[in-house]
Amino acid sequence: MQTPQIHTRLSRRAALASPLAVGGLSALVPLLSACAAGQPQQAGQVRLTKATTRTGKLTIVYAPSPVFDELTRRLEQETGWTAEWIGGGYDENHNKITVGLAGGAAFDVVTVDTIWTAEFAKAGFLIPVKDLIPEDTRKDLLPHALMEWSYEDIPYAVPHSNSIMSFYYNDRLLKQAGYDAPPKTWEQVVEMSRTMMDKGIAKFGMAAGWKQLEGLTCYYNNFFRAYKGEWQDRDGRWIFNQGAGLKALQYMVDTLYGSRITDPASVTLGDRDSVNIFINGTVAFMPNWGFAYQFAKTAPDSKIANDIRITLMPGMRETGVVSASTTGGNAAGVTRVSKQHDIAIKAALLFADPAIQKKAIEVARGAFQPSRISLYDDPWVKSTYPEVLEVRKQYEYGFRRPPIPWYYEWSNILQQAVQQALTRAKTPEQALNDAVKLINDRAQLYKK
Amino acid sequence: MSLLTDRRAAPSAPRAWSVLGEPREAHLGYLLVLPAYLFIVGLTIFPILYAVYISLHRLSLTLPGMPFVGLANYVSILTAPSFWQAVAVTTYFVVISLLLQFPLGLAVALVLNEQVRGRAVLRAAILIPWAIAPVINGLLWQWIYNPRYGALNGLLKQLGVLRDDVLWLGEPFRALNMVILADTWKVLPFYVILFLAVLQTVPAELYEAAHIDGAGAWQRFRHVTLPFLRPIILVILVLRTVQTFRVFEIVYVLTGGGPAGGTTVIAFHVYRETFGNLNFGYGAALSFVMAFLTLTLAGAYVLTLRSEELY
Repeated sequence: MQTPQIHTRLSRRAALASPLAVGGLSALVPLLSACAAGQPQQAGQVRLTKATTRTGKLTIVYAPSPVFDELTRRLEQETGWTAEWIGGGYDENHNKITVGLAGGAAFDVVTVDTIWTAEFAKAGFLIPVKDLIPEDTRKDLLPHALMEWSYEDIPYAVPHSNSIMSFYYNDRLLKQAGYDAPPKTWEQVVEMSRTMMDKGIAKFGMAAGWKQLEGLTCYYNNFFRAYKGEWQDRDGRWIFNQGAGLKALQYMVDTLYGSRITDPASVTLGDRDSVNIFINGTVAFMPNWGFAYQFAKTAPDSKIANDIRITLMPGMRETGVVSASTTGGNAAGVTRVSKQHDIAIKAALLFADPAIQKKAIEVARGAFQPSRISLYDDPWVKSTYPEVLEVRKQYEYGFRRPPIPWYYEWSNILQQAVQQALTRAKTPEQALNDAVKLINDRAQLYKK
Repeated sequence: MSLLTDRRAAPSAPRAWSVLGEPREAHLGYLLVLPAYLFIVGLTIFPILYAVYISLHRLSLTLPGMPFVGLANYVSILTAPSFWQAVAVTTYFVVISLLLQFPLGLAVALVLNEQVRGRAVLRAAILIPWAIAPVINGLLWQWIYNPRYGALNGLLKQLGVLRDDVLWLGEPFRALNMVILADTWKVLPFYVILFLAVLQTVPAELYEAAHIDGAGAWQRFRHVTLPFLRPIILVILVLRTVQTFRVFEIVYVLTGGGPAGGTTVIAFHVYRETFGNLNFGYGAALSFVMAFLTLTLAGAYVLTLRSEELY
């Protein structure tokens, strides 16, 4: 099995000390370094460690959830080990994991977003998991599940939740405008939106989270893929400033300033904020993640609880693409520095356990997309949360964001470029040309 | 009486702590301050020196090795448009913040220094924004500025000032000013407290004498109040310039550096490069550039204002 190159020169102090020196936290650096219990990272084949005691406590970095009480109980029942959960919010977890593991923190299992996989793998934080997942579990995972957490074709985490963006619409508004079915293409979205706006049925056609955040990359990716975009050419040069990339951004800009179907507030909204607009009942369409459906159904001030529907993300008439959406989700990675890989692997596998995932669906009231195929056939899931099955249809048209180790930097450059066009600080062409130049320059550095 | 005198007065005192003939009191002194020295060296000096070391190396979690690159990180910073954009945004932030907050803080302090009804309640109330955590303040203003259900648009529309919603954070330059406004609400008590503390030390007799001499309100402020305020003005200028130069939380929560990078101040740029892009060497160099700029500004203030006669 191929294993990633580990950067042996990266000491815990090196990673921890640099950014903090000038800030107030500088005083903590040597203390943290001294206290870190991790082993020096080693190149080559992973040597799996075994727990030396019958009981103990794993350290798991994951966003808090009531589901994990059940997971801890199962872990204790099956191994005698318990778990300490130290996760926080999304961004907080990324920083906690990267700085912690680079500094030798004794994390055993960590949450891995799809876009963190390449970075974590390249940094040597995780052990490959493909051979550690039992055959029956692997067969029951969604076809694309393991690929989402792969870097250079090696899976690095056990899939827990497979998210994908869906397209939501307000059925009442569509019916008022005389539409029996939702739009199938982005061109139709514009046409239907304009009709509803002109008739005074809808204030805006669409609300979206186009704030300068990671979500913006996902929204752009939806349009980009609908235009059959490819990020790089055969030589690995980034080329999204031409063709599909330019058309995608132009489409976004046009919906703001041309057809004016997108609520202009979208450029200041994150994913959750855009749902708050949508539940007011004056906007017809909203692309968003899975959480949006239950939120719109259950929020006390929602005016669309009975009107929200899910459908496939539109495709593009011009290109013939049926649908295109962005994938995401979280998985459990086992750290290379764990001193009890055997227990940590069992804990990671519990994240893919059907009972745990079913509990997650229940706790999230349907706003959880399991990675296990069998749960999509579960009678309780089918009857209680049919939207989970609806979202699954989108997987066939899912696209990853580029699996590169410097994804965060890449995405930041793209987000800024897209926003420059959306706020008319630059033309779409200027913005993308500048972004592509910067990205190609950075890519040269990361090639070394 | 000093310890030295004491020792000379008692030459026969035992020298059990002495090493190489040194008097034991000196060693005891070193011993007593040693923990403090270790603390300072370990928690402050070592990390700074180590940060200098890695700022001269290419240290990134996504790149192999840690080669020595000399001043390459510093050169990259100084030739990067993103850095200069962050400097421009930060400079604007600092200048406008001080221009806005300084007179406003002084005005509020002058009002609270007068014998107005409910002064005690007002003085307590003015502290509330200062007591709110920066992140909470950011979230608070996020709701206030929300274009569709925010309090600011709601208020202005009810007052008839606006007909349509305004995207307060939807355009780079406007967003930057809105962030400054949110930050001003948070830090105003700092100015007020410091100004008020000094204002209360101005003897009432001076105002009475000036009044008898026929001085008007402006002249009393100019010739009585202002000379007393000068030392605190220096303190506030230095502290607030440094604080504002490092502004981070409000930007992180409110705009995330957007829209279109329009609110990416230096501290946020450092954060993104270091913890986002995981370029620790580059981030360390950025930290030093930021520290250099801050110290230069503070030094300039001190030199300028110290040379003037304070009273």
